[in-house]
Amino acid sequence: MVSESIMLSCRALWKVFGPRPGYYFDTSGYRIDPEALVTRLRQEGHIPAVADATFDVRKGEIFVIMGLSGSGKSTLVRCLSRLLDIEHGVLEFEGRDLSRVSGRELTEIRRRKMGMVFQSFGLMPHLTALENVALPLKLQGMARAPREARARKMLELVELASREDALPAQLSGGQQQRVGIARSLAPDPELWFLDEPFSALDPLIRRQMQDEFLRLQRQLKKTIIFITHDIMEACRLADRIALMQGGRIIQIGTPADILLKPADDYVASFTAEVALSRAIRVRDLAQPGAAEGPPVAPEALLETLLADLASGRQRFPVQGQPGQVLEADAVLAVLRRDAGGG
Amino acid sequence: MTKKSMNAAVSLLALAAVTCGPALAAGPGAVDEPIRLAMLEWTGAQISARIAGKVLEKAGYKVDYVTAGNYPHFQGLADGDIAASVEIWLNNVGDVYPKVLAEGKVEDIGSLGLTTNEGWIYPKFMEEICPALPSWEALKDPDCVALLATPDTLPNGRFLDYPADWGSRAATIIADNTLPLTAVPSGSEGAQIAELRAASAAKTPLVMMFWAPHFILAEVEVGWVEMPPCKDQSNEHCIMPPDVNKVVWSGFSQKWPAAYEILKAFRFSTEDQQQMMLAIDEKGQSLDAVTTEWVAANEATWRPWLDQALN
Amino acid sequence: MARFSRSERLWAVLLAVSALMVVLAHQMPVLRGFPTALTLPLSEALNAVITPVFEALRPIGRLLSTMIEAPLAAIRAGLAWAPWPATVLGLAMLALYAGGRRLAVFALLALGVVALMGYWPKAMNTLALVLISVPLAVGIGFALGALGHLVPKARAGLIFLLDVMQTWPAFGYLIPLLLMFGFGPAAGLAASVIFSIPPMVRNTMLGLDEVPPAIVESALMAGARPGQLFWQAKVPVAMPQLMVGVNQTTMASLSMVIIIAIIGGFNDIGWEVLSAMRAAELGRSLGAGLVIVLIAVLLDRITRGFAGRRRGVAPRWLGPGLMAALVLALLLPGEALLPDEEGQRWLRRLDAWLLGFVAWSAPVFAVLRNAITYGVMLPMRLGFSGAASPMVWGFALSAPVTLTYIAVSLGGVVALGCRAPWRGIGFGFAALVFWTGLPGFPWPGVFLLMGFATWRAGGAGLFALAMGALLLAGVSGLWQPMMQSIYLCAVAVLISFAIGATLGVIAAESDRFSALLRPVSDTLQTMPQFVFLIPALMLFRVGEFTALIAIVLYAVVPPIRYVEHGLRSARADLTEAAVQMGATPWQLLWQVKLPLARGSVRLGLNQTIMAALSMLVIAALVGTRELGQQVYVALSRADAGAGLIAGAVIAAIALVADRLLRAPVA
Repeated sequence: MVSESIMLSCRALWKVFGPRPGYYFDTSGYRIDPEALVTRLRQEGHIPAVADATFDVRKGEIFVIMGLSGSGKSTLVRCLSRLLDIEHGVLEFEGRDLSRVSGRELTEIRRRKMGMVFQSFGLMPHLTALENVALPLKLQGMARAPREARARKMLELVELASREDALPAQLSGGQQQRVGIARSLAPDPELWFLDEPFSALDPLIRRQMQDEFLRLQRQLKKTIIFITHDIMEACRLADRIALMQGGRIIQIGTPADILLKPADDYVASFTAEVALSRAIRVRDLAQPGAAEGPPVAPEALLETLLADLASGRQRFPVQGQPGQVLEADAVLAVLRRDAGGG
Repeated sequence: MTKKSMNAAVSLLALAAVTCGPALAAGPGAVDEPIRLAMLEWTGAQISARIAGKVLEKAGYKVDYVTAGNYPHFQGLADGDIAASVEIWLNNVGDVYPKVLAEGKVEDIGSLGLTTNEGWIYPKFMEEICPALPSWEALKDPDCVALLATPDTLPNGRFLDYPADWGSRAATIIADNTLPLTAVPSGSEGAQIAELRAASAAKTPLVMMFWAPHFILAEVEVGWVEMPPCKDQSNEHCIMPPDVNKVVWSGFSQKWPAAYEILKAFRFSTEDQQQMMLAIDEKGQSLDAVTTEWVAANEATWRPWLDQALN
Repeated sequence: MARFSRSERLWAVLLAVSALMVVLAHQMPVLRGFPTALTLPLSEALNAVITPVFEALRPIGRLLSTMIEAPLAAIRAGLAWAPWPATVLGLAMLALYAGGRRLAVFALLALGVVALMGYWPKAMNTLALVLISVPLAVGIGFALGALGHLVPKARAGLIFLLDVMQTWPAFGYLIPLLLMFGFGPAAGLAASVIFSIPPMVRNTMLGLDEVPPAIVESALMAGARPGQLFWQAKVPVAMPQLMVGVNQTTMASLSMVIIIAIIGGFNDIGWEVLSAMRAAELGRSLGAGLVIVLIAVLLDRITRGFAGRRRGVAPRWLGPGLMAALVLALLLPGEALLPDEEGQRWLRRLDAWLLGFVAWSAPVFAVLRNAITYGVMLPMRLGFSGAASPMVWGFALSAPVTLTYIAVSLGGVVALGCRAPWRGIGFGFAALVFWTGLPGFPWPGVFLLMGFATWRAGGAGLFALAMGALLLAGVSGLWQPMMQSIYLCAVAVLISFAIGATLGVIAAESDRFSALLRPVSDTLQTMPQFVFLIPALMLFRVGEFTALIAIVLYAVVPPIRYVEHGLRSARADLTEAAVQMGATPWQLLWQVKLPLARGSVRLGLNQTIMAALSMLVIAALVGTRELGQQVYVALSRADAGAGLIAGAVIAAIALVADRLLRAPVA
């Protein structure tokens, strides 16, 4: 599902707020240690919102950027979409240096290749649901009939076809965000940004929307950069997670990497609350070996194995991956950690 | 301010009448273009303007009436936005009029013929409480002055002067005669009228600077103070009846030659004006009706102006 | 005393210096008024510059005025041609569409009253003026507001410009406009547009600034170019706020109708108000004023109705209805349907009633007038040293009286100062001002105190503004008028605020009283202030007292509104907590609600001062000796320079007062 080709790549990305951010990054590039530069910037009245971010986003993956408020995750995603200009670093989108493209090219890229969903929805209050979804197409200059047909299709996709004439104020929060999702998908973008899309919603609705999001993704197979402050949400959705603190990315890895091998105490304290049995999957613990009996799916959560474990099974073959087994001890070790942490 | 005596004005007019005899008949000029006459704020001027307009219409002209503030309208006259203004009180023209007159942008075409008066007035009932009135000596009498005193002017009596922007001769005259009065500027004509009405209704004493003809004089009974002898005959130290003249834009005589002659001949008596003011301001009749009536009834007066200009 | 903070120490030093100056001023007259030796012929110099400039602008002005006058004449002709029942019907349908059935009924009644009073043609001329000046002001205001939004660097200058435009009395710049545009409605329209642009600019900036960032970002991510972002995202989202601007601009433009009439040339309602004022006819001026109020309320509700609706499709009946009105207009003869003079005659009856009332009540009002004059105005103007004479207070300023005054003042300063230094210092200044009277306070002291206060509250910019204004007033010989203006406004603000705040407190407590008060406030604010002058003059006669009454009648409205609003919006949880703690209603008011409403109350005070200053020029009509009168004199002499200088001083006083009040108390 996740290919190896890289869609978005950033190297040593910096975004600094303050009176004269450009001063610290001369054209030949900064050469001092990022940690030291962060300290210096803070001392001199600047805020390094993104400091030295380096990562690649692969085609078709869900890349989650996670952090608490003030960690710089929202700034980072705005840098990636060029809503904010970066101070320093390389930002490549499909091999093009995004930080150097002209305004006109950027608009063109946004119109055809990027979509974004916002925490506070960002719907135009004076337009109906249908008009909101059709807006990106209208801005591209598409004629009325085709753009409304496309917008209607998008609304059907998010199961909101019946409310196409409603104004945003007449919709519930969940419905508004569906409109926001439909709008961001209308131009069929390749790279899809979601900035805390479900944070403003009730927990129950949030769960529903997450499921729906996964359903959509199975259908559409976009490359996704997803921002959240919720570690559970991150673990549910992510192929990989980048964890941010104070502007810096402190760990990048699969949910299992983050949960089982935290890079430092901060990450560990962050993940301590998570019930691992509900976040770790069979494939995360699989190891070479052989076993008998009914196999388990690689993406199954550990908690689904509890009944089998209780019946005393020691080994589980992994479905579709011959030579891979799951040892009951490994599962028990995780469960023990849950019990100790909880 | 240029200020001619009544006699000079009359003799000048007589001279004008001689030079513009019937022999000098003029063409009508631009009959299709309306002559814009100024309608100033006060009823008297509106009556004069309407009558002048109706007479001009009888001569075949089109007339527009333009409501205009007294001071700003001189600029309009100078630019030709207003063609003529037929009742200009030369004692109250501000600083623009002398300037544009000197530059030749407007032309004074002589007196309207009103018999005017200016001086100090008081509501009639005051003769009972200050028996020496109407002589100015009454204003030296401490008892009388005490009646006029107010907190602002103590120990002097209060004298209500013209609004500050009209200039104040009264203060000079009070000083010349060492009267125990303090001149208080009234702010506006409306303020003076309101005071006079209230004073007469509530029987509160009042002495103020005023002029005639004015519609309020038909409504409130007043007496005129017999003024002390002037220190000298200048405008500063002496009150003389003001001239009321007609003024036209400098291009008027060329554009509408006959109308120019008609306006030049246009004269109007104080009695007639006062009667019409009463009908309008007190009886609530419309300006249009009252002036139409006058024009219908006084053909003998205005027909000669037309004949002389057009024949 | 060790407890003195640094700023308290500085103020105490200033108090001592001022006291010294007051004492010295008795010996040295040069300290009392601004020395005449220092005056310069500024207005002549200014005229020498301005007159040629504006006369050079003449061709542009004439061009603009022809461009304005053509559509104006067209609208006017259209409104004059339509028989009044057709226009009433059309406007009522518009009201129905914008605001529902009640507004439509109001429109029918209001316009019916206008027609019955015999003011229909004049009212239509006024409407034509508004229909021209509002789109102009809205257009220019929107452009400036967008500029301020898009170019943050231009903003500080723009806001200062707006403040000046709103505080500079329009009378002060009529002459230059007259020079430029010539006689006619264009000059008045220009004045009206200048005055009514600022609310549009402010609301445009506010609306555009407050477009949520998510909207902007979502539009950008949808691929909006800068133009698309502005017109398709920001402007529609800001539309409700923009409509508030349109509404306020309409109101401001209506309030300028009278100013346009000063020049004349248009035979509108403003002209009627001025003529009636000139003839001191209450009935006529009240009728004409009522027409303005009714038009204002109607336009206010209609534009607010449009501002309130987000989007809407015109109902099906609107088109045919308007067509019906048009057909009616074609069928009916125009003027024949106007009612005759009956309405006017009825209005004139009011004057007789007023005179009867004046005759009957004169002694009562004389007592009121004397009480306030002797008790408040004379002490404020002449000071204790001037008012303590046998003529005024019945005793002379003998040595024992002086000594007693000094002893009481010193005692008060020390007694209060020991408990709280601020109070002592405040009392000291009050005692000094009360001794000399505001206009008689030594001029170097005024410079010193104002300089210090503005420097601390607003920094160099405010300091320069205040010092510049004082210097300008002094050098152009306007020191006395300026101090008179400040004195008159100070007294008026004290009285207005005391009355207004009290009414506001009651209105906040009682819904019924509030409902009763609201139309009164609306009327006081929209009725041309000239109308109040006539009864005030008859009851209180020419002079400062009548001016005071006129100012108070207008300036009493803002404290009512702001205090009521502040108290009503006090947070419910906090008042509930106080009630739970056992606060009595009185304690609740003083210790919880009023402190919570402090921001609103202060804004109310600010607006009271602005309102009082804006009335100065109008108050000059009843005979005052302050800056407003100077503006009038300049207007009648067509002295552009003098008018501009007096106007500038008034605007500067307003700006300084505004900034001082907005600054945090220091």
